[in-house]
Amino acid sequence: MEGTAFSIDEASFDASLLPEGSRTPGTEAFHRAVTDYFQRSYAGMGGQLSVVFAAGRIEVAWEPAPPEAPAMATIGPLLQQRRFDEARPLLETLLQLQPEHPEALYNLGVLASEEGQLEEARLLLRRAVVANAGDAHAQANAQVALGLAALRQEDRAEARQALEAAIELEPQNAFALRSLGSLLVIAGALAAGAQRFRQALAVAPDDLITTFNLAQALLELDPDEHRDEADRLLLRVIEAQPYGELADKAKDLRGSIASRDLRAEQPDGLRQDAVSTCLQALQLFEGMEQQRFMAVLSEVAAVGQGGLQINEPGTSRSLKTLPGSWSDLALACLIHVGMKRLMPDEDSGLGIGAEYEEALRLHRG
Amino acid sequence: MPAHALLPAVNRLLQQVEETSGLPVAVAQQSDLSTLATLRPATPEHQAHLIAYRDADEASSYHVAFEAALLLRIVQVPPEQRVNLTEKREAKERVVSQVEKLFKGRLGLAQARQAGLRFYDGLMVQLRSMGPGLWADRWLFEQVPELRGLQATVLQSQVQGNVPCLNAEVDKMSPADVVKASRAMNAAYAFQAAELVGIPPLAIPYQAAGFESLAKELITITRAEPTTADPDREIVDGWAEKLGLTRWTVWKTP
Repeated sequence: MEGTAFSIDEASFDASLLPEGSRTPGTEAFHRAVTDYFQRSYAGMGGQLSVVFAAGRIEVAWEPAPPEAPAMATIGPLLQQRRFDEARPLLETLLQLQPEHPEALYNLGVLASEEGQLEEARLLLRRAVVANAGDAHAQANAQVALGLAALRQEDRAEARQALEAAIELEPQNAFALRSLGSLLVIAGALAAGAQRFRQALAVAPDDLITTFNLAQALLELDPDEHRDEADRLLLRVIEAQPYGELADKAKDLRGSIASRDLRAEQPDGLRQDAVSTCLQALQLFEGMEQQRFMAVLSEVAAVGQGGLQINEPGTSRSLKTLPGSWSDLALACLIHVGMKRLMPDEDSGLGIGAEYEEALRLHRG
Repeated sequence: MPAHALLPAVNRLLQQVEETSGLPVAVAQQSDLSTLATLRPATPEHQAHLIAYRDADEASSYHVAFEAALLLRIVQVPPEQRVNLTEKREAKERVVSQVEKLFKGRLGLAQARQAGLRFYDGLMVQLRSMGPGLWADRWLFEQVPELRGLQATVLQSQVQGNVPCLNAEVDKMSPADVVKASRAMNAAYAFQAAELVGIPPLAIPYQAAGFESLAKELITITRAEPTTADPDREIVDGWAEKLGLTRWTVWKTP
């Protein structure tokens, strides 16, 4: 509530609001009772109250207390701990008190964006961009957040504009570079996207998301030319972070590389070496008791996660659970056959489904 | 098209008015308006309702919604039953005469008459608009909760703007009947605003000045279930009775 000031005649005051014995205007008891009445009435509002009696009038003025702004020093840790429900009201209060507070605008914008309130997020973040004009790093971050909110709302024009503005402000902003790279890839500009990912990796070489994104973009761009680089990048992701969504995606992508490799050797028909190896795997697993089968499959799957060079004839690996040496193609076949035994409806993604079917036909026949 | 984007809830309300009345609603910003917003229902000559608002700011959404709520009631009155509140000559002349006495020796007769007419006209506008306005504010509070934030800002601002009318200086410059009725209506507005916004001190000045009881009676009238096809007229008549203004106006068909 804003401050208020008014005056009324003492004679006009509603005396029924006062205790008996203090209802006669002009008397000290009346003045005291009226003052008490106003103090009680505004008590819940805090602030400063002034009640003055002059020339038969009651002059009342109430001013709210100057609000204390919740400091970002208090809000920052809450945001870092992702205690958003506690941080949000403080940020909103801060914004009410200082409508162009740069950090409040930025953080509320990011929160809104995360929650899918994209229109509101973009409004807040546009204001954050303006409010952060004196700080290139903060303004670049606001531009990146605006770009991501716009991208989520499929407004590629504003997204690109914001991300390019962020990079202009801060050419080493790895997140901006990565985000712009993703936007360009989505828009089909694969080479330009890959270029931005490379720039981002030059700044932040350990960023696994960028590493994966670059590998993906390179494979889409030209799988023949970039196969080896993409595979190295994916292997780096898997080694650095073997578990989790990103690792799974990297493994899947490596599987597609392996599959493509397999087909590259014999694009129009079955690879007889794969058929033959799958047949051997079927025979091997057929008489194997379940416990041992699981041990073998676990081991070959673990080896396979590190990547298999199916077309490298010289590869030779030894396993703890099986005697002898095994080529990568043989390991791939063991994985595929083993998976089919466990989950007949699933595919290993290694691209040897047709060879497996042929081997199965021969095995049954 | 409005110069300032209206909130989606307001657009839905305008659509409701169009569907109910079967006529389009035009919304326009007019910087030269003397009030925050006005309403001109469609007539046989103008086959569209017009809502005009003055300021191209965020609050304009609430002002337009407020006029739309009033319009929604108006268009539901059967055309043959629609009436306008008009002046009663004797009442107007009585106010003029009071002002002439008040300013005797200080203002010329023509100026005093002019001032008297303004007092009378002002009070009639307040009587015609404020009761239905209270209904509209409460209706919007209940039916369009998305607007509550804006509503809180607008209501508080209006109450604060009205408070100076309580000051004793006003009594020296205004006919007593007019100022008392006007303050009572402002009090009703303040008490309802205090309730809707949840800030009881908004009504303190009027409570101190002894208007609580009358204000609450006026509010009760705006919340009564209508018994005729013209609920706004019921409110205005009810308020006129409580405020001693029954003989000040007359309803006439357009």
